[in-house]
Amino acid sequence: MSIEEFVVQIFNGLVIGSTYVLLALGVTLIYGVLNIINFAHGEIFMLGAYFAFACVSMWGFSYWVTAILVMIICAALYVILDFVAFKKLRGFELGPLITSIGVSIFLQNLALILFGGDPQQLQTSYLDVIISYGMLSFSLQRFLIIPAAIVTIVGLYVMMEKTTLGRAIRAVSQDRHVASLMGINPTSVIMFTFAIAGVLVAIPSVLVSPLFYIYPLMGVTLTLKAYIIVVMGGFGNMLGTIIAGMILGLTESMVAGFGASRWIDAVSFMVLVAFLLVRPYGIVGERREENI
Amino acid sequence: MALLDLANVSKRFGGNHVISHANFGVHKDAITAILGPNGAGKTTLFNMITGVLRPSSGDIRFDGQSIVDVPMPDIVRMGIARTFQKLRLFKNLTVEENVALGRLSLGKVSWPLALLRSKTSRQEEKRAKDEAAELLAFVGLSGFEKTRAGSLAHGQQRLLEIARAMALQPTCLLLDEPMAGLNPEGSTRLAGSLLRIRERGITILLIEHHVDVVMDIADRIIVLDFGKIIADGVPEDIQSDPRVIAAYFGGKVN
Amino acid sequence: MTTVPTRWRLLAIFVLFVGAQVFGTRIANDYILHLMVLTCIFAVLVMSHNLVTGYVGLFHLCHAAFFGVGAYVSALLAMHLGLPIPLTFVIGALVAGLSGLTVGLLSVRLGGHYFAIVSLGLGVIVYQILNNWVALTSGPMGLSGIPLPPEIPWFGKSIAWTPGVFLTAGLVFVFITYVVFTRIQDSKVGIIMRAIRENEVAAACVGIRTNRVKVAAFTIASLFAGAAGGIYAHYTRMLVPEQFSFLASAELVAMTVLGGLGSFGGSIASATFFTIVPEMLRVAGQWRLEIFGAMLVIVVLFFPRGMAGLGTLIWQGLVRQSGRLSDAQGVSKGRANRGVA
Repeated sequence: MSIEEFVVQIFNGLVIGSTYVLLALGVTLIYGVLNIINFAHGEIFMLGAYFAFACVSMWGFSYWVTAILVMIICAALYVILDFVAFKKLRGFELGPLITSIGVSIFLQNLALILFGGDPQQLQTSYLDVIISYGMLSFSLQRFLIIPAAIVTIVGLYVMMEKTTLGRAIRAVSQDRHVASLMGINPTSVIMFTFAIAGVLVAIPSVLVSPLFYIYPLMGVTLTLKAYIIVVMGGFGNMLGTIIAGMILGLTESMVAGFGASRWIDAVSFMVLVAFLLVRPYGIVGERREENI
Repeated sequence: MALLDLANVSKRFGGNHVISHANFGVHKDAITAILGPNGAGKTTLFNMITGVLRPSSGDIRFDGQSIVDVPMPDIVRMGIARTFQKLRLFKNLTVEENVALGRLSLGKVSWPLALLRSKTSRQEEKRAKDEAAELLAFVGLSGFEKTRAGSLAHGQQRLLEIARAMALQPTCLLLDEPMAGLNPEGSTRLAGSLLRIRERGITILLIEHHVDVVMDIADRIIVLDFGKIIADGVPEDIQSDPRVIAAYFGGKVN
Repeated sequence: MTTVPTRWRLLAIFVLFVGAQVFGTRIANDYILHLMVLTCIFAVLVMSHNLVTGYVGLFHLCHAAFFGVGAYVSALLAMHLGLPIPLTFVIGALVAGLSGLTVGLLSVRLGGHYFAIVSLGLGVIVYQILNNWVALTSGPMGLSGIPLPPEIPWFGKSIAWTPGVFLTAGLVFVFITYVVFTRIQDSKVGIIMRAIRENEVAAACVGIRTNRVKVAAFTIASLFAGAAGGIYAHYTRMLVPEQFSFLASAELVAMTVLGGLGSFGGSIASATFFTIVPEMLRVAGQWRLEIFGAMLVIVVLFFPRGMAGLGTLIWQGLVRQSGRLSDAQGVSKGRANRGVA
C-alpha cells in the first residue's frame, strides 16, 4: 500500500469513525439516563436518510435546510419512539429491548412497503466537488462529516458540562430518584435526551447517506456497530465512546484497504469480543459497583 | 479471637470516603449492633462483608480467613448470611420456595440427579421443605408456605427474609434493619427471636434504628458516623458517650 | 409457575401428539404435513430459547446462530466427509452446545446488557462466516442436496424418511424436549433459575452460583437448538445463510415473548401459530413482518405473559366453570390448554 493509499485509508477511517461516534453517542446518552438498549436506533437513521432524500430530490429543498428539517424530524421520531415503545416499561429491563426489536422490524418493513426496495441515491452538489490527492480522488461530500462531528462533539461537551440541561442529564443518569428529589423533572430530561439523540443521528444521516445508497435495511448494521462502540467505550461513557468509535472506524477502513471488505462486520465483532475479555468495562470505564 | 474481623477497612467511591478506617471485631455467640445516623455507611459495611462491594483498602477476615476477594455465593458457603435494608425477596416464588432455596442452593445433590428426580434429590427436597416449615414456624409465618411471597404484608416479608437467611445455616447472621416497618409489639417479638437465634449458636451482627430495643439485647454496640467508628463498647457506655449523643442530636463534643 | 398439574399437562401433550401424528399422515395434505414438521422443529427452537431468555432471564440474540451451526455442521459432515447422518446430527448438536458453552463462559459474568451485545456479535460472526466462507459453505447460495438420513431397519422392512416419518421424529423430539424442560422447571434447578430471574443479587446472596447456572442453561439451550438445526438440515435438504441471520434471531425473540416467557407450552403454541398462520394468510405476504414487529411491541406492553397468560386465563375460567368436575374434562379441551401447559 502506498503512502497515499495509507493516508486515504486513515482519512476514510476518520470519516467512518465520525459517523459511528455520532451514532454511538446518541445510544450512550439514552443508556446513561434510562439503562436501556434501543435496537431501533439505526431505523431512525434510515428514516432520516429517506426524509433527506425526499426533501432534496423530490421536494427540492436546499441541502442545509434539509439538514435542519431532518434534525427536527429525527428528534421528534425519537421522542415518539420513547412514548410508544419504552415509556410504559420504565423499570422493566428487558422490556424496551424487546419492543425496540419489534419497532425495528416494523419500521424496516414499513420503509420497504412505503419506499420500495430499490436503493435511492441522495444527490448533493458536494458529491460533484472532487478533491484529488496523488493518484486518488474523492468527493467533498465525504469530508463534510469530520468537521460536523468535531463541532457536534464540542457542542455536546459544552452542553453537558456548562448548561443546566446537561447537568440535569448527568444527574438523572447517575440517580433518577435523587435527581427528582432535587427538583429536576426526569420526564422532561428524558424527553430532551431522546431529542438530542435524534439530532445526533440526523447529522450523519444527512451528511453521510449521499455517499451510499439509501435502502430500508441500512440501519441494521449501524445499530449493531453503535452498540459495539458503546460496549467498548463503556456504557454511558462519552469519552470512551468517542475513542472506541474512532478505533472501530480506523480498523474497518484498514480491513477494507487490505481488500477484505466482506469480513468487516465479522472483524468488528471479533475486536469487540476480544475487548470484552480484556477490558470488559470499557476503554476508559471502571467497574461500576452498585451499593445496594 | 473475633469471628468476623475488620482491619482498617476503607471504601471510596471516587473521591468520596464512604467508610474510613473501620476497625472492629464481631465475637462469637454475641449480638453486636451497629448504630448510626442515616448515610453513615452501615449498609456499605454489610456490602463489603458479604462481597457485594470490594473494600478500597484494609482486610476483612472471617474465622481467620480473608474474605475480601471471595465471590458472594462462596462467602455464603463460608457461613455468612444476610438480610437487606430494601427487601430482596423472590416475590413471585412461594414463601416456602424462598426459604427452601437456602437449603437447596447449598445442597449436595448434583444437577443431573436433581433432573432425574432420583431418590436422593427427592429426599433433599423434602428435607429442605421440612426445614423451611420449621424456620417459618420459628419466625411466626406458619401456614403461609404456599403463598406468593410478594403478597405478604411488609412486616411478614421482613420475617421471611430472616427465615431465608437462616435456612443457609450461617454461623454469622447479618441483619440490616430487620425491625423497619414493624410496630412496637412486632419489634419486641423479633427481639425475642434474635435472642433465641443466638441461643442456637448463631452470631448476630445487626443494623438497627430502634435504639431502645438494641440497648436491651445487644452485647456490644458500634456507632458509625460519616463513615467513621466513633464509639465501640457495651450499651451502658454507649448511652452516655457524648460523641454518640452529638452525632445523633447535633451539637459539639466538649 | 405451575398453574396446571404436570401429570395432566404431559397427558394432554401426549394425546395431542398422537392426534397430530394421525392427522398429519392420514388426513392432511402434503403441504400441511410439511408445515407440521416445520412447526415441530421451531417448537424445540423456541422452547430452548425460552429456557435461557424466559426462564433464567438471560437475553441473547444469537439463537438462530446455534440453529445454523447445528444445521451446517451436520449437513457439511454428511456431504463432504460422508459420515453417517445420526453421527453428524449428534456432532452438529454438540458443536452448537460447545459454542454456547464457550460464549457463555466468556461473557456471562459480564452481565445483562454486555451479554446481549456479545451474543449479538456472535450471531453476526457466525452469519458472516456462513455467508463469506464460500469455499466451505457455498456462501449466499447455500447448500443444497443435503442427504436424507439412512433408512431405518424395522422388523424386516426398511423405513424411508418420508415427511410422515419426519413428523413422527419431530413430534418425539418436541415431546422429549418438553419433558426435559418441564423436569428442569419442577426440580430444584428450576427454582434456582427462577430465583436468578427474580432477583439476581439476592440469588447470589443465598449461595446460588448464578454464573454457573446461567452458563449451564445457555449450553443446554444451544445444544437443543443445534439438534433442531440438524433435523432441519436433513428435512429441508437446503440451507441458506439468510435463514440464520440476526433477523432470524430477532424473530425467535418475538416468538418466545409472544408465547410467554417461561412457559414451554406457550412456546409450542407460539411456534405453531407463527409457522402456520402466516402461511395461511399468504395474502398478508409483505405485511407478515410488520405484524410481527407490531405484535412484539403490543404483547410486551399489554400482555407480558403472552399466549401462556392468555391460556392460563382460559384455563382458570374453565376450571371455575366446571367447578367440582374432574380435571380430565378441562384437559381434553384442546388448544386452549396447550397454551397453558
